[in-house]
Amino acid sequence: MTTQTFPRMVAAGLAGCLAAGLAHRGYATLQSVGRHRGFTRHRVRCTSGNILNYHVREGLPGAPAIVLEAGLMSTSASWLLLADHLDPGLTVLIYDRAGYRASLRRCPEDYSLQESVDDLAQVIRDGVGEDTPVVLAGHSLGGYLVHRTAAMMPDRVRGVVLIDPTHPRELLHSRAQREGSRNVNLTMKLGPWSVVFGAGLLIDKKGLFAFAEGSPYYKTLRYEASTSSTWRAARREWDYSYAFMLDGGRPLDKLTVPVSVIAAEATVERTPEHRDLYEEYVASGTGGDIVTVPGSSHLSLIGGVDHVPATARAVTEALDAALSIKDPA
Amino acid sequence: MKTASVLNKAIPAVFAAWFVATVISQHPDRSYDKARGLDRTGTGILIPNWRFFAPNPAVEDQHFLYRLASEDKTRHSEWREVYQIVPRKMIHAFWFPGRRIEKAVFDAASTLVNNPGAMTPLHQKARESTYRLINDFVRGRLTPDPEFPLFQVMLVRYSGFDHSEDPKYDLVFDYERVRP
Repeated sequence: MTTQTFPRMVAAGLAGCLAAGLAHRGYATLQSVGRHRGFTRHRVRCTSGNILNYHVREGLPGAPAIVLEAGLMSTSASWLLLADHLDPGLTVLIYDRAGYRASLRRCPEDYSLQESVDDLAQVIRDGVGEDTPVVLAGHSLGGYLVHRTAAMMPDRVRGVVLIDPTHPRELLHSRAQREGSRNVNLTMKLGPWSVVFGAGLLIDKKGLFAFAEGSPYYKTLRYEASTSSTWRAARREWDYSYAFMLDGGRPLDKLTVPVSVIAAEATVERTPEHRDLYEEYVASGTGGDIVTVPGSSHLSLIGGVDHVPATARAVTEALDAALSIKDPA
Repeated sequence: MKTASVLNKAIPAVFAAWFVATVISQHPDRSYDKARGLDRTGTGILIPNWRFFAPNPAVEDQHFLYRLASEDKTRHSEWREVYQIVPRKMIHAFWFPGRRIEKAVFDAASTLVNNPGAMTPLHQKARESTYRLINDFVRGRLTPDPEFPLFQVMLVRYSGFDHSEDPKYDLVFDYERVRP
């Protein structure tokens, strides 16, 4: 053995880890830009400059459409399991916000939530026929975004379904949420750079995605956590949302359609004060209810094989209730 | 001879692999701890932890800001600074009794922002006392306004010298009465 043996072995080991990490990132990126089976892919250039991909599963002619908006660090893939449990006669539109998967962020301005709201409105105008009744559903941050979008499009949207939604005042309202969000802040601060160097391979994804075990989309969700684009987009949205929510956000818009909330049992048990915020959401519309899915967590509501059937049933009931109200127009 | 030759290569290889596993297990965010799973003892002692000050070495000042709020919390004043960090001078290396307030604020803030996930009764008690302490500290220094009976505190980190850098929002407190 020479004196150089150990340093050489260490250097080779570290280089091997870096190469494995970068290869993993590259493979994950390739895996995460593909099409979704059963959906047709479309592309729209928004007035913000962003070029977004959306995916449509056509239902029966004249059937209503449901547009699904994902939460922070989630993409259209997060809705695939739920879409499988929705009535196939329904038109389902899922999309990727700017920066996620193959959607490109080309807006020259600093990011704000209004940019995502405007983009979603354009996706709806581009992807859903003018005479088709539309119901918007959103998970987590996506819930707040669809609520704002519904306020912008009172002539198009017939109902809103919020699945464990983010509320703009939740950090002021709940100390537990505030303290928990500090952990997220650290993760978001370090995530984008770590993933650039292939550290996505070091993330304990088995624990992180335990909620999705058994799902046919389990691997897709895991790959997305290793792509740079997911982390960069999430960081951009988090930086804005965190400051926005710490400052108290802004009051909820008043909607002229029903607003229903589907809550995770874990959320309302761990932070009972969250229920006040969900009630405020329901009160912002003209009807609706709060349904809690037993045994569910924030992520298992739309990604867990045990809980998605119940979520899909609640979504369908909320959608039917919203569509049964005669169009005021 | 053959055994010696194998050992000559195997021993540095084992130590090199151990060293590499240790290096890649030092990410400041514990979500990246997958390699620590190699330690099958369940104690975590085989892969050392070098994260002494990570992820936040003290390179920034802690500031408390406050704002006043109306009874229904719908109207607020702007965020105001509770006190100014004193610009450092050479003499402060030898004599700087005013530093004690800043140090106390830093320590109090650390109780709140470090290890936020810890939920033992001891941690909760420490955090409760700290919230009370800081609220009293701010209450004694704020400029009251009869229109605003409530106030709220925000903890912000700021380098204090590099004005091109945006402040980092750390924590907002519950609303408190200006006059309890």
